[in-house]
Amino acid sequence: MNVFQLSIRSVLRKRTKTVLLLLIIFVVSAFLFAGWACKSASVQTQNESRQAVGVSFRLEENEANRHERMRELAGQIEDGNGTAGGYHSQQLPSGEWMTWTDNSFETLLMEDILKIAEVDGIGEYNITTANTVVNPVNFERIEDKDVDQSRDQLGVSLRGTLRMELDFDIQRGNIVVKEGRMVTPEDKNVCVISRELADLNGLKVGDTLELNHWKDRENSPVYKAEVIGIYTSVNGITPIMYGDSYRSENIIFTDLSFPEKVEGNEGSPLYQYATFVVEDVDEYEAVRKKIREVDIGWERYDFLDNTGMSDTMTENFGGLDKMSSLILILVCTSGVVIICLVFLFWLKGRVHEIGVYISLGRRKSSIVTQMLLESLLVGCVAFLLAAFASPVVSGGVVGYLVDYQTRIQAEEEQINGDMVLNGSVEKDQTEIVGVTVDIGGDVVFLSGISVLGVITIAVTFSCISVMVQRPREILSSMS
Amino acid sequence: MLEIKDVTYYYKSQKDKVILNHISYSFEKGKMYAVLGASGSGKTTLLSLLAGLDVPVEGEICMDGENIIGKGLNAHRKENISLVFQNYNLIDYLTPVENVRLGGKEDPMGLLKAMGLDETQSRRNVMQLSGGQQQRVAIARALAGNAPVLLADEPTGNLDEDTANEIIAVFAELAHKQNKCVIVVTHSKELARQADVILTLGKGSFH
Repeated sequence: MNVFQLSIRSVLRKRTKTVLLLLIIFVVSAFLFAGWACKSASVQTQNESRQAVGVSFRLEENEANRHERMRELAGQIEDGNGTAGGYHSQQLPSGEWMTWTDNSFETLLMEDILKIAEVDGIGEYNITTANTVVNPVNFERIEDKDVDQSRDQLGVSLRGTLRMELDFDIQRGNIVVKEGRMVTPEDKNVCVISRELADLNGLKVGDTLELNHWKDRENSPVYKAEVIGIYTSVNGITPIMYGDSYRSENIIFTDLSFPEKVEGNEGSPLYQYATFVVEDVDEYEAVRKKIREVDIGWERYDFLDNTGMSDTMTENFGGLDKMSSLILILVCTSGVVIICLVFLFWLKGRVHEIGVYISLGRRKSSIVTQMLLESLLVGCVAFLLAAFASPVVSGGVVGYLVDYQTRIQAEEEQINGDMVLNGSVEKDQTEIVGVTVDIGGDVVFLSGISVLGVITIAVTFSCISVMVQRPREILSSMS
Repeated sequence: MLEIKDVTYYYKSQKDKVILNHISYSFEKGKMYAVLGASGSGKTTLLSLLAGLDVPVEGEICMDGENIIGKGLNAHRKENISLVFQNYNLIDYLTPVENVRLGGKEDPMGLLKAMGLDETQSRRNVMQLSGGQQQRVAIARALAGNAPVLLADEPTGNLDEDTANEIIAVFAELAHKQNKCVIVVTHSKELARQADVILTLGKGSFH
């Protein structure tokens, strides 16, 4: 009789042992299913939250690297006076040193932006210039009459953009273009102004704004931009600096190259942000990985998930992922321990059988194989039963964990409420997120491998105690 | 055929208590040996060494002139040795037929019939048989492999007198008609009287 025939007979004829083992492996399998389903569910949840808000990445200058570059360039300038790589240093007559950087030093590099934009999976992209204060020539800005303007530049801010529809204030719903249209890559010398600015100056779509350098209001060249749209503020644009030049209503969106011309730096733009939209949110991680493989000087940049809320969701459901990992570790460990203990108990009762097999000349490895085969036969049935029960068990476990995570998230939101800029968007996302437990082929496969591993480890480990004994010791313990 | 050469055995934890002390003997085919001795005299140890269940501290056990360690103890047990125990040692979840198959015979009905078990008895669970029937199954299993040496440890210890006599007769027949070397460790003087050679163990050596 071969090992398989003996295993089948043992399983079928020792029913109490078989049923008990079946129950234990069933419970272990069901929780392993739940653990793997939970991991799968958490990924779906992340994707769904991204689907709701869209996913984009944002490239911006790394502040630490900026300082590092400044130090390096300063070291390249002999006797301290001079220019290197957009970094300038000059000793004033008073003996003090003045240093500054120009756009070529500060800007994101266009060649780097284009390399990222060409990555598979990236749809559209947007470039945004730094806010550029300019002088309004043929119109008035919005101004707080009660505030001392002596320290203000008395100008308005230009924000150059390649595709205005991808601007983060548009994306976040802070402003809405209700009249005219937004800036597109084909536009030249155009602008989109605020409703307040239009009303104050009686401006409408088709009119032309005239602007020049704020430091030389009389002599600097005047540049004209056609008003193609008027935006309405919903939550307002958060000013980057104090003063009316930067207030939300005075921000004028223009085509990408317009600000540099008015500032007198034509050909030397100052790109502050680049935004890249992921075409298929399900490919988020893959696209992120591909972008990271692009050959550019990454030390110069910060690369962020542009949707702040998506980051939060990812973190929270990353917590769910961690919890499901914890479940898997706990179930695997406890499964090994429980099955080990059960087998150690049974092996005491099977010493007689092992002794007989040894006296018949069977190898110990063959006897362990039989024990393992018996467990795997029972394990197969238990696993199938667990597979049928898994939608219910996994659903329950995942539902509980998601509820738990949602509660944690709500508590965190409450704590950090004042720090969140866009409450409305956040709430929408939270409501949209749903959880479905899909017991797919991958979950079944991973659960099966886990059960197989748990049984193999448990049986092998528990058999060691008997198998290290000499045959005579085993036979002695029979009597 | 089966030889013990200058064998010494003691437990490593009790080196001063020698169980077998430089004993030598040669067992031959066609004879039935009875090994007698008081409890603790080393009878079962001797049987374990002959069966390859343990190895001597000194000396060697040879089968047809070859040290059994050289061939491998598993192989020695499988090919040369049949073991019969006092408590039968049958596998409880197998039928008599299946138990005998473990010995290596695919169609064991003839063997079981020769041992006095009918078809019905041979197909039921082995634990439903009487003690004598179980011992017959154990002997049938021992014979199934057609090993030249049969080692029995108190084979009649759990049997009534009539059944014990039947089993002794079977052993004698195996030795004399089937030319096997039958070595029986026993306390039974009745069994010993049926043996061709009686060996008495005491103080670590044969008397």
